[in-house]
Amino acid sequence: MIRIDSASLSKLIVTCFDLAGDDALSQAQRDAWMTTGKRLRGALLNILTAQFENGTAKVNEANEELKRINKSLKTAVDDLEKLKDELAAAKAMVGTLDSLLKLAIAFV
Amino acid sequence: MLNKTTIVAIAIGTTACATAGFKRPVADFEAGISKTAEAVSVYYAELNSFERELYLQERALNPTLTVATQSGGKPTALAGQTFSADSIKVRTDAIKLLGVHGKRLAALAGSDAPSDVAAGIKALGESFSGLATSFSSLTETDASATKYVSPVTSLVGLVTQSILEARRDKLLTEAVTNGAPATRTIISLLEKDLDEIVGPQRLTGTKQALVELIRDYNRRKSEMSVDDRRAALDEIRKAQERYEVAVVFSPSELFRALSDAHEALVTYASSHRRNPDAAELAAKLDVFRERAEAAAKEIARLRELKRGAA
Repeated sequence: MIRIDSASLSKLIVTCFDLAGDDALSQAQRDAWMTTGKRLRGALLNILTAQFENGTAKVNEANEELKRINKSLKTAVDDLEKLKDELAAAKAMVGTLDSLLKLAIAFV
Repeated sequence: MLNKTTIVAIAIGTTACATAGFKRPVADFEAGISKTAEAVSVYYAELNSFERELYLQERALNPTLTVATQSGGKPTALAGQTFSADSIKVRTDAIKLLGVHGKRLAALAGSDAPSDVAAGIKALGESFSGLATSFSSLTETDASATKYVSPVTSLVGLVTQSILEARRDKLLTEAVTNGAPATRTIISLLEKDLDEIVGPQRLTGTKQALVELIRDYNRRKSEMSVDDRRAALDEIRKAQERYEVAVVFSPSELFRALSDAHEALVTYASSHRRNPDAAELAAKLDVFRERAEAAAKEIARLRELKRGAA
C-alpha cells in the first residue's frame, strides 16, 4: 500500500504559511497564501492516514505534482508572476487531495 | 601463594565485575526505552489536544468563525480525535515490550543474571500477553495496527518463556534469531507512524499557529497599548519556539538510536558471553540513552511553552 508523500505536502504547507507572513507580498497575496495553506493543511489531516493500493496512478501523480510545486516555489519567491502560477497550482492541489480520499482503501 | 581470604576476595571481586557487566547495558537500555516511551506517548497523546487548541485559537483571532462540534457531518477539531486513545496505548506498550525483550537478551547473554531478574522478566513479559489481541481489535479503524500483530506475537512468545539455566544457550539463539527480526519490524513501524503521520501534523500546525498570531498582531498593532503589544509579542515568541521544537524533534533520530542500541544488544547476545566487556554495546546504549533524554527534554519544553501560553 502507498500513502501521499506527507513530507512534500508538509513542505508545501509550511511554504504557504511562510509566504503568508512575508512582508514583501501585498496583503491580498498574503491572505491568499494563508487561505491556501490552511485548506491544504485541512486536506493533509484528512489524507495523512489514508492508504492506497500500490501503483494508484492518481496518488503517484499527486506526489509528483507536490514535488514539482515545491521545487518551483523555491525559485519563484522573487518572481511575482511565477508565484501567482504556483498559488494556482497549490490551490488546485487541495481539490486533488480531496478527490483522492475516495480512492483510499484503509486509514492509519 | 594465595591464602583463603585472598581467594574469597578475588572471587567476590570477579562476581561484582561480572554483575556490573550485566547491569550496565540493561540499565542503560531500560532508561532509554522508558524515556522513549514517555516522550512518544506524550507526543501522540497531545496530537488531539493540539488540534483542539489550534481550532480555538483560530476562533479567538477571527470573530467571523463559529465554534461547532460537528461540521459537514464530521466532528470538528474541538471534539475529533486524530489518533484514538487505544491506538496510542498499544504503540507505547509496543515500545515497552521492546524494553523487556532487550532486558531478557542481556540477561540471557550475561553470565551473571540473577535468578530473581529472570523471574521478573518473565512476569513483566506476561503483562504484555494481550497486546497482540489489542492490536488485532483495532484493525477496522487503524489499518497499520495489523502490521504489529505478528512481530508483537513473536516477541511476547519469547519474553514469556522461563529463563532456565540448562536451556540458556538455546533460548539465547532463539531470542536472537526470532526476536531480532520482530524487533526491527516494530521499530520500523513505529518510526514510520511518527515520521509520516505525527511529524507533519505537528510541524504544519505549529507553523499555522505562529503565522496566525503574527498576522493578528500586524492587523491590530496600532490599536494596542504598549502592554498589549508586549503580551502579543510574547505569544509570538512562544509560538516561534514551539515551531522550532517541532522542527528539531526528530522521531527518526530517536528510533535510529534505538535500532542501533538493539543491534548492539543482539551482537552482544550473539557473542554467547565471550565478549563481556562489550565496549561497542556500551557506546551505542549511551547514544540511545542520550537521544531519548534529549527527546524527553524537548517534549517537556513543549509542555512548558504550552502551559505558558495558556
